Amino acid sequence: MRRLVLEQRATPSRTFSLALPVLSAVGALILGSIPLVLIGADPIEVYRLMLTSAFGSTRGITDTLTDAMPIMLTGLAAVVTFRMNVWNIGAEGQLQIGAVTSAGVALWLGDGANTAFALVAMILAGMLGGSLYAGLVALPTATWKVDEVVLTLMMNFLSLAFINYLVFGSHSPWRDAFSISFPRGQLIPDSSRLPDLSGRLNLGFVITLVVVFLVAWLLKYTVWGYEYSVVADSRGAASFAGINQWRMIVTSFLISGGCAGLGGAVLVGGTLGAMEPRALTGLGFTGILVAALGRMSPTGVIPAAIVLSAIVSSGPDLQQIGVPAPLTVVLQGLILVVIAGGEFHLRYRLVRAGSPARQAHRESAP
Amino acid sequence: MGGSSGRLAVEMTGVSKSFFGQSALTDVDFEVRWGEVHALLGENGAGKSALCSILAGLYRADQGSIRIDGDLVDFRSPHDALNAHVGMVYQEFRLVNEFTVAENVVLGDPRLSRRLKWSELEESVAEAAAAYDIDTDPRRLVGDLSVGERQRIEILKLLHRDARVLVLDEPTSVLTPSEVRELFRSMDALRRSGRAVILISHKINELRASSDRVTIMRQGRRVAVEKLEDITNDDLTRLMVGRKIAAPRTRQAPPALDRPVLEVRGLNVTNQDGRVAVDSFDAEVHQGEILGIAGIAGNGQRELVEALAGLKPVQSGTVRLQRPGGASEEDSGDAAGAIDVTGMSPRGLIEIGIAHIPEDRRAVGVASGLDVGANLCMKSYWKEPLSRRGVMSRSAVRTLEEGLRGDFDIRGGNRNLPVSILSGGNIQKVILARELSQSPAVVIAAYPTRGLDLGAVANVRDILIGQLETGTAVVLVSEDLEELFIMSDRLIVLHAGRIMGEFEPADYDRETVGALMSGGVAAGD
Repeated sequence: MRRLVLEQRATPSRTFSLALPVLSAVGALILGSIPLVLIGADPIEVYRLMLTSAFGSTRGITDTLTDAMPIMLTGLAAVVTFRMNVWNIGAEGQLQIGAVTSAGVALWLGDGANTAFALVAMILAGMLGGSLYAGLVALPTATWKVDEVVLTLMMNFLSLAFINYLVFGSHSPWRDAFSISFPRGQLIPDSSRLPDLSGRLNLGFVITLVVVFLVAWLLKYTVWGYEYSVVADSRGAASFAGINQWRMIVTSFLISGGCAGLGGAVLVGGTLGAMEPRALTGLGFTGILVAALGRMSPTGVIPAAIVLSAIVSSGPDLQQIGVPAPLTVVLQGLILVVIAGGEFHLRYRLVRAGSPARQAHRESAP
Repeated sequence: MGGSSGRLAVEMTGVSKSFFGQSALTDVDFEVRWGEVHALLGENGAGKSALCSILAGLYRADQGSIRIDGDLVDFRSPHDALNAHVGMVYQEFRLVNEFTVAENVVLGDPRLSRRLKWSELEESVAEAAAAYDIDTDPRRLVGDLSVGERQRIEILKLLHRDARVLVLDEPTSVLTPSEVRELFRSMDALRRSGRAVILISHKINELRASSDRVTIMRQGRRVAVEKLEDITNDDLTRLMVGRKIAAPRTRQAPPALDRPVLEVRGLNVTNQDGRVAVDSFDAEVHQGEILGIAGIAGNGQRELVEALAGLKPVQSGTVRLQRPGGASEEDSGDAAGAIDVTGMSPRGLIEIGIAHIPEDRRAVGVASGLDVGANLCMKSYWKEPLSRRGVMSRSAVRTLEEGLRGDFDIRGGNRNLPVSILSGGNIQKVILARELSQSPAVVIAAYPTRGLDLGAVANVRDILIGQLETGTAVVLVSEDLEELFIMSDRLIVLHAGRIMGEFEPADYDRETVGALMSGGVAAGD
């Protein structure tokens, strides 16, 4: 009997690494057909409907892109810290705080403000809010090595309670004063609303793309990005090169939080028009999925967010043919499982027991 | 013993093995007799360890057969091998520090009954130790033992399991000269008891002192089997390397300079547990001089090097640097132009001219996932032309890489491939190129040739010696006495963070220095 054992690959397989997102999606679709068959639906029909619903019409496409926007940004937020092995899983909370600050600035500026000024102020306020909220975690993490996973996770609960308080638990300016029985967020003035491009798609999408490419450029072409890559690869080498790791951790947190905060701002200035707590949950966590599907590449979050958005936004149409909408969440989860599995095979492969181990590889290396 | 005359202890025939499609062993025959110490000589990567790992059941051969005492065997695990009386002592010990000697020796022994009677076990361990002249107390914690003692426990562990073929993988690399002699005495006792001992090594002098025959391997093949008394050292080297190794470049006497480039006074450094690691360290290095620092790893070298790199806080004491010919630092320096660099940041020390060859070259010396170019600019990327206003210049990095690749003969690892795919020697050349191209005043080199094959060792030494001509001073931290004797103009011996003695080349002597390294007195043991 020959046992199968795992062996670490010398270098991650290159072709496999490029094909992985596609394989993951295909694998998830195959796995996803199991629950579909169980509820008596035809998987091919369902997938065809998902495709036409998400991309089959101008409205479908603009809806998909609109919903992709916030998760693209929270995905980017995850990428910026994850690549350095710092785990900011607080994009959720940073997005919520970004929504609070951007809505706050828009409401404070009021109706009379110059539109261009109001837009810039609202966007910057959102980024700054998210950034500072991330900064609250960055400082103890960088200074005393406090576990950032625990901190950011806790901060998510804090911000959730805070936005709920602002709208449901108090008479703050964020709450629509006339909504008595069903509390809602106060609509921001039109001068602070992001102009529509087509359908629901608004200017926020352009801003989002600019920020994605800006972060990609920062990581690839700047001195900051070079230092980032050294710290990401080897903390030891970074120390010897005199790179200030405190600074790198803090700046990456601030940028990460800024991206997530922008996600809050484009929601408030765009589709929501208000700081609406019910619409501001789950986006940060989906962002982690986006980052994973995008292979931790800053530009990779663009297609990844669009794919995930397409799956979710086709939910209502699926319901019309008798497929429950929550099934789209099941599909998302399956994709994550398949990616995690694929990621594993990128680094390891199955071999028969008694075959090489890493030690021997080192010896035979050129 | 299985010494029924005529039978071979080990007979491996036509053994081949490949890893990742790369051939590590090609059709190797290997024979060991009962009652002999058989050396296995070869450079890193020649296949010595792979061959022995197959013998000890860690890997399985792709092809070929193994006979132990004439019987055909097929080991699927080290456990199978031990049942056939074949055991191996690995370079990294597999002992539990929190256990006593006796507990470690019987750990994993399938003959143990469910109910342990420690007094009996300790007695049996003590008996086995006495039989092979191994001096140990079964009740002591392994964590309290020296490296040499731990190695003997590993051997004892095999003997207690009745191993008759013992493989020792580079056993001397961690030992002091006196411990090496003791190991050789134990090996001799094993030989006399009729067992077979296989000694993996790449140090020719050691083989001569301990072994009967030698099998020489090169690039996964067996190139010769010889009696040691029939072969000269030159021939052994030639067979092992496949070419002649040039002796290190001869060097001129260092230019006299009355003031040292680097001057360390009363340096105290603690380790992460807050214990004293470097204890009132005094030293000075002059222009064009190599100061050797001898010592067994773990005696304060790491903390000393990190303190000099600005990575560890200095508790007390001063480090002063005088750039040769640099009288321009009048503002910050004292009358003689020396600058107090104690407690400076790592970046500050780089800029002022202290370069480092760290001991852990793959984890600290390079960012192993980045390419050669990115690694070469790691100590200068913030300066023009490599970057301008916060933006890196890819073409400048490429130009730097092309220049240094030529100057330092760095081979392999094209653009965008991680530097980790390079050989150890080439990685070390990347580090040397990066550090020396900054024209440093002082280079602090920690174990710069450790684990490299002979060609690369000669190369690294040549590069360091060549650097002296530019007036650079070198601090060479090493535990290889041979290297220190060849390279150093002066030698300091470090033990438990203290300077035990200082030597001039005329007084270099293995015994004296070795005794000081292990904390003994200079008179020798």
